[in-house]
Amino acid sequence: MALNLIAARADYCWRLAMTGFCFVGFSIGSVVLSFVLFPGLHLIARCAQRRHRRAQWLVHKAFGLLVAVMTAARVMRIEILGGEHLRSAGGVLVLANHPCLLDIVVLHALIPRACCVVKNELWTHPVVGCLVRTAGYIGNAAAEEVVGDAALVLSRGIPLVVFPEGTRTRPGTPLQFQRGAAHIALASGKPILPVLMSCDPPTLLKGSRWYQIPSRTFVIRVSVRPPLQASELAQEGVDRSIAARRLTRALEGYFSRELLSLPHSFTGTPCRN
Amino acid sequence: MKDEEILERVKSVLAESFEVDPERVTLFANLFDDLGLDSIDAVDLAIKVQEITGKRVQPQEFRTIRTVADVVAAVQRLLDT
Repeated sequence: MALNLIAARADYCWRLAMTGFCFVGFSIGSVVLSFVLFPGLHLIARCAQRRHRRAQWLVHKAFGLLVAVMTAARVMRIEILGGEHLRSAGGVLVLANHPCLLDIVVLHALIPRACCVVKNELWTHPVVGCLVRTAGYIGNAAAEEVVGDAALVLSRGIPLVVFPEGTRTRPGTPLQFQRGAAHIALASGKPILPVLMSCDPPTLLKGSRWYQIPSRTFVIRVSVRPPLQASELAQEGVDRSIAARRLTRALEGYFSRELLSLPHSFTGTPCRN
Repeated sequence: MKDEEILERVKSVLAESFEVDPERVTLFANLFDDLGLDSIDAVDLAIKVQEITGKRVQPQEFRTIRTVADVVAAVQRLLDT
């Protein structure tokens, strides 16, 4: 019994130390990407699109490394269903719910090259700001421009990751989607790839600190569902404001239902980085 | 057009295009906090105001609009010019 307690305590301390290490690693990695690698990209890739592509690939590799370290350190585990949809994603709108800070890290680690819509706070951030701009991500300051920029990215065959909630889920409250994602789906006409995410036990919620780690290794489950067509979910021939409202409600309903029926464990899917 | 008529038009636009219950539309209602519009809706509302008045709406003029009263005043101003 006492030995068990000591082992549990040691495991906790190890994961706490490794969590701290990963946070420091993330910060150093961001600085290196922003101030060393990405400025280098400006020298070797003059064309903006080529620069974006390389920067997106670097982010994929960097986040893949972070996920590999966190997994190896038993800080977290990842279970994936339908990951091949993400690995081969072209111009699709990847919509995911957002339970945890790491969702975007995991998604970028799984998609070889992706664009995403980022909050204005990140766009203007002294370190991360340079990173998200070089990677050609889309800032959400002017909603009207976001829709046009997003449709352009998708038309170039680049997958676009959007969290329709706009921020991390507040635990215990119903899902609430903003309408931007629906507008992007309607304007681009591209398929929606729904990704259901869960984090068990919940950690890295909005407002929580890095050292508030759960009592055991947390599991991030990623379930990629077959693509949806916006035109099947929203009626055509109505004002876009109405169509976006209907599509948003349909997506909220879809995600709420599917998340309820998400299995507690995905069997037969070994963790992949 | 009288202010009351404009308000009725605004109410019907909000109901038809933005699914806003007309009972919730008062002059003091905030479009974003009370009636659930977002910034893309604001652009679409400006287009609706153009249709009502037949005049071009300056984007910077519509950016300051917050309440139903602001919309009514903007329509009135456009009709007067």
